[in-house]
Amino acid sequence: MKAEKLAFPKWINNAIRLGLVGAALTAGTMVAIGKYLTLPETLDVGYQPTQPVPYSHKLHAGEMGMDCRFCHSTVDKADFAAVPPAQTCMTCHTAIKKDSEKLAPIRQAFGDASKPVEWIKVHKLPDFVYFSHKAHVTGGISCVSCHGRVDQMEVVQQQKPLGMAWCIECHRNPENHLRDKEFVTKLDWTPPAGTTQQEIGMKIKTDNKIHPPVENCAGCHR
Amino acid sequence: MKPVEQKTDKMYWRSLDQLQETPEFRQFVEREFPEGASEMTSEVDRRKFLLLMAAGIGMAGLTACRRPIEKIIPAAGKLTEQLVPGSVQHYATIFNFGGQAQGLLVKSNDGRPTKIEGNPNHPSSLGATSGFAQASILDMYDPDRSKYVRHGKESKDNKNWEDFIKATEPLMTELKTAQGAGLRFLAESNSSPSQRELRDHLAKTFPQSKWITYDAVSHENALAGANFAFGQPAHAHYAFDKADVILSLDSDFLGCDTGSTLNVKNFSKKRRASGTDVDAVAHGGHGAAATHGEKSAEPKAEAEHKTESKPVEHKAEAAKTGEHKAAAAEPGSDINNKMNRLYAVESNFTLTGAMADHRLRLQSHKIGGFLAALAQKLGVTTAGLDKHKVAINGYELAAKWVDVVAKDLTANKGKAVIVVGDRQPAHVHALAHLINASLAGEVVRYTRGFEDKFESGTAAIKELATDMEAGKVTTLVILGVNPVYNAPADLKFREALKKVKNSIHLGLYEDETAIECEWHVNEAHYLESWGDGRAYDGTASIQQPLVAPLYNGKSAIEVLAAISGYPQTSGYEIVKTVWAKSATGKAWDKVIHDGVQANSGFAELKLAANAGTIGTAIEAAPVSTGEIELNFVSDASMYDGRFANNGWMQEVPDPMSKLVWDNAALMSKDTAEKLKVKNEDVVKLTLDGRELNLPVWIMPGHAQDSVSVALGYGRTKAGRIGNNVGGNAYLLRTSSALDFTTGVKVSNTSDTYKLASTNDHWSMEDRELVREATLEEFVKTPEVIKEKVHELELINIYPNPQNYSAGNQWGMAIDLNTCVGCNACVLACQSENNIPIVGKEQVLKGREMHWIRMDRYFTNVPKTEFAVGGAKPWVFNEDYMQAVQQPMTCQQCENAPCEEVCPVAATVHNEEGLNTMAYNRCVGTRYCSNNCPFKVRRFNYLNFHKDITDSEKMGQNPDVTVRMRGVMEKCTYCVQRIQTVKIQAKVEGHRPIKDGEITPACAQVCPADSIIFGNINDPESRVAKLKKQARDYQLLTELNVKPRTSYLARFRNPNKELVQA
Repeated sequence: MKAEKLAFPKWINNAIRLGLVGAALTAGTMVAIGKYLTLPETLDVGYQPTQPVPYSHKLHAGEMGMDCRFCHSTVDKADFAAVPPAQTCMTCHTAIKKDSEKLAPIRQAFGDASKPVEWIKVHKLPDFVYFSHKAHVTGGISCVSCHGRVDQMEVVQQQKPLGMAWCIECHRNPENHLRDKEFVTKLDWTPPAGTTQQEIGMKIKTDNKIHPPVENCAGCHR
Repeated sequence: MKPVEQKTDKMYWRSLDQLQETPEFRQFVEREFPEGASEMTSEVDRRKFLLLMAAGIGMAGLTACRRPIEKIIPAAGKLTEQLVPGSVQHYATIFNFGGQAQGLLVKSNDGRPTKIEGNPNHPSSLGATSGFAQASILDMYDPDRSKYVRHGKESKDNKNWEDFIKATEPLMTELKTAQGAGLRFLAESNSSPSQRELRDHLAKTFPQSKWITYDAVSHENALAGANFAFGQPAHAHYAFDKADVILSLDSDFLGCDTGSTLNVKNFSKKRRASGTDVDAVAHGGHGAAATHGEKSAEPKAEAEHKTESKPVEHKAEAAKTGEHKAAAAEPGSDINNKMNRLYAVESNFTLTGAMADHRLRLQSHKIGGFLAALAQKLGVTTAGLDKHKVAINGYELAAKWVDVVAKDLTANKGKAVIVVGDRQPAHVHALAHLINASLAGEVVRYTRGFEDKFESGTAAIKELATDMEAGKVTTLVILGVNPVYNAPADLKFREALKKVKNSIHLGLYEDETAIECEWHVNEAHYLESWGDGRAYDGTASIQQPLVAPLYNGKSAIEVLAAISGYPQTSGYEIVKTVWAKSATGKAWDKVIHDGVQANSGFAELKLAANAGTIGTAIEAAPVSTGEIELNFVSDASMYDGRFANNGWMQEVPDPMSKLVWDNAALMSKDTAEKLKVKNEDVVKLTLDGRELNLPVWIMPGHAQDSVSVALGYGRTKAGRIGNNVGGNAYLLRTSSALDFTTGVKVSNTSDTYKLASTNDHWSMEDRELVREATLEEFVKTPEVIKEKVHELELINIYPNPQNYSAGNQWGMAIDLNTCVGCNACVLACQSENNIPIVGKEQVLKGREMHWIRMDRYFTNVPKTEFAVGGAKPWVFNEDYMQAVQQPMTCQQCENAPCEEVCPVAATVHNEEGLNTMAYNRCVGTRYCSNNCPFKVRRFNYLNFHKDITDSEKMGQNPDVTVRMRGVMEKCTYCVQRIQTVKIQAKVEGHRPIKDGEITPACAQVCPADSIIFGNINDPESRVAKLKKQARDYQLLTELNVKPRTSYLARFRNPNKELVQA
């Protein structure tokens, strides 16, 4: 038998090249899809659970203009921004809408210490991340930077990815978000005419010596 | 056994295996990781592992799609107290231990106690705590705690407190009519004024009842000795900060004794080879206790258990600390030739012996004889001395000691003191009081004791057992003690208990005694209940609960109140009623807030030792002879056995033997050779027909012909951790020989038993890590410490080294001259940093997780010293054994070798000089551990946190990540505490951080203030000043790793007459 009979035909070379390119493309696409699917932007943004009480931030914080700290009173005192106890709700709701069906769980919690309202956590960081509300809010980072326009939300949803890449972006350039402390809870604040966010932020950054941890892992992980 | 060949004159070694270079030792240290540590356990083979992995990946894919729902549950009901969720509170309370109160400040995270610190205001702790206090918090969360009331020995029905009260009511009425005939109470000693009040009430209600106080590890000998000397059980207080010469006789006053926290604090003041200014530098740290707390609003009455709880406001304290400015110490100004001198005469090698400038090993039963000979030398002429002093006849070295020590004591009259250990019989204590009367001057002070009249607990429990046996006891109430386990063996308590019709037991656990009792009531932990107590000096404090009882337990005073029909029934009301005499209204609030009642200590008594009664006691005391001595010692971890189910205590290595999860028959090398046994051979100890099998562990420097056995092991009903760990020494302990006895028979059983010792783990072999000198050498040439190692000129191979000249640069100085090696820092670190326990099997594989390793090195006296009888003590010689302790943890190298090899940058430096760990980045290659020259990185081989119960989770520190399997972890200088203070400083207007404001857990707990942390960039900080001292040195400087932790050298202050023949 002739040797040529046993040899692969010439077109096989091209077929193999094509096959390899195809495999690489497929693998690349798979990785890209996988990566996209696991990004915080894909997984977490838009998370909007139904709460046991249909509390409307849009009504309370937006239309009525209540300050965030009326309910989340510990935001500048502790690492955690506390969700208010039923008692806070009852400050007003003993008089206003006191028989509302929707407020039944609140009334129950107020009357019986063993039956608290179980709110569902919307903005969640991993357990190995130590975020301090106190450090950010007193430094001049507004609620809106991480939580979005809560005053326009009927039902609260997560708007920012809250992933590490997103955190670091602001830690590198805090001037893009810094504002005067008195406006931190004013979610619709914009820089006054004639100034820019960068200018204001830069001034606060220099004046208050703000150096958020960027390469210091222990700043957030410990 | 192989003879010891020592390579150089003064070697530091941890184990005999290391000294003798045995093949086992070589193999252990030469492997990259200890054998078994990096291998997969045999239960899962490779095939099964792959199968599980495949399944795991499949499952992971499915579960990751759903976001877990997490809830936020705010407080409900009407709130009167404005607590800030997520902030930290500290409450002052006390820990009643060994019959006296230790003052604590307990950290509470949202109502859960999480960390114990010392109360700086309390005279027993002055801001530090013992290791026992540190570990006591774990007991509260122990899942094996008794949770219900039980009636009937075999009953499985869970009853509650109301059932108990209802069911026992007729019995109590009957007893009242019978005036309490046949009623007995058994408890441990307690200084509580409330309990005293209830005992008085009991005596009125049941005039014929009897109260028996029994402690398995007691101060009875000391009190009996004082009773001989002064006619009352007075307390002796030793001001070690005023003593220049101390002779310790079988006393572990720096180690395991109840009052050691205060003793170490005072002793260390006289141990700093430094001027007073530097002394002040090292002491500025007090009050830094708990700086990271929020000042909380005035508490108002809420639930009963939170009633009037007073959180401590720390800001004032923190400010005070910061203001502390000590005079600047110039380099070299730390040289001071004033340092105390400690002589220790002891049988077992204790921490006190390790601290001593001179140590004489002597069997415990001969120590009384030693003191008798010394007393005669000092001119004491009491009766009976001749009879006892024969004990040391023929021991040339002891005779030399008597001469030299007597001379030194006399020369330092007024500043010299003799301290006798609790294990020595009463007449030895009495004789020491007599000598101290003329010798000690201001160093010894006496106050009244807790009891007016001396009563022997041993005699009392003996009488109780006899009465029980004779059927004279119809009702026995046992309060928190475990006599079935720890009563003297000759009393046969278990059998006697069967003859008691009504037995009631109160305890934290359903232990050996509980299961033999008709009723068992679950006890409330001290962090859950109201109470009170007195410090050794009499200072009264209130025990304030931090949390309502987890399992509705009751405290001893509540049980007593219920039984005796006291008008008040809840612990809070009882304590408040009793205290109404001394503190009400604002004063009561202040006592709760401060944790102490000001000026409530006992007044000093001017007592004259009565030579006549002391002589009679000495004359009456028997002289024991016999070949081999057996010592019963309280354990550094288990105490009397109460910590048996405490995992932290089981796993913390014994400070001297380094054994974990076991006790052993400790003996010297020469004794082991004589008995023809070696390490881990099981021997049978036979005493009066009672037997106990225990493995041998050689303790170099132990007294000859003497065997020491730790109490507290061999529990059968302790819980899942403590059951069947070690051997129960109580089985050999009889009421006539509670402390030591001669005539024990030791026979080899030809069995062996594997003991887990961390002796050679993380060995750094022969590198010069410990630097030591005599005080004289140092005063003459202060460079002697730095010159111990030839320092090379170091060059950096990196083009752009990080600049550490600005901002806060954290550093630490550890003083080896004051560190006694008590393990408190190891336990504090474990509590603060959520460090898991791994168990004996894992420790054997070298997988222990402690971030701080307490290295104990043995060595011999330097060659410049000479010995009696032409011996060469500088080569291995058990008569001249010395020990040094060195706490070893991450050195935070500026040029960290671990960082260079991490492939994922999980461990990197921050700008403040910390070698940080991002646990979530770590993939577990273990390269960093391999490249660490200090061997301080710990790898989570298994998921040690996986099986942790819900109750234990409540005790975890929420500020520290709970690490999982496959992650490397290590000391971070408590970065969570650094961050908390930094954030607070930022919030308060970006103010600078004051020195002493940040205290890592190890530094805060240290009774000797040996660990000082701070900003080395601030020349005024304590740590910067200490680092300027001539005795400061860094480890392994030749590697150019630039550690941020440095050590201050150890000095000994030898007596020339004893080192020259």
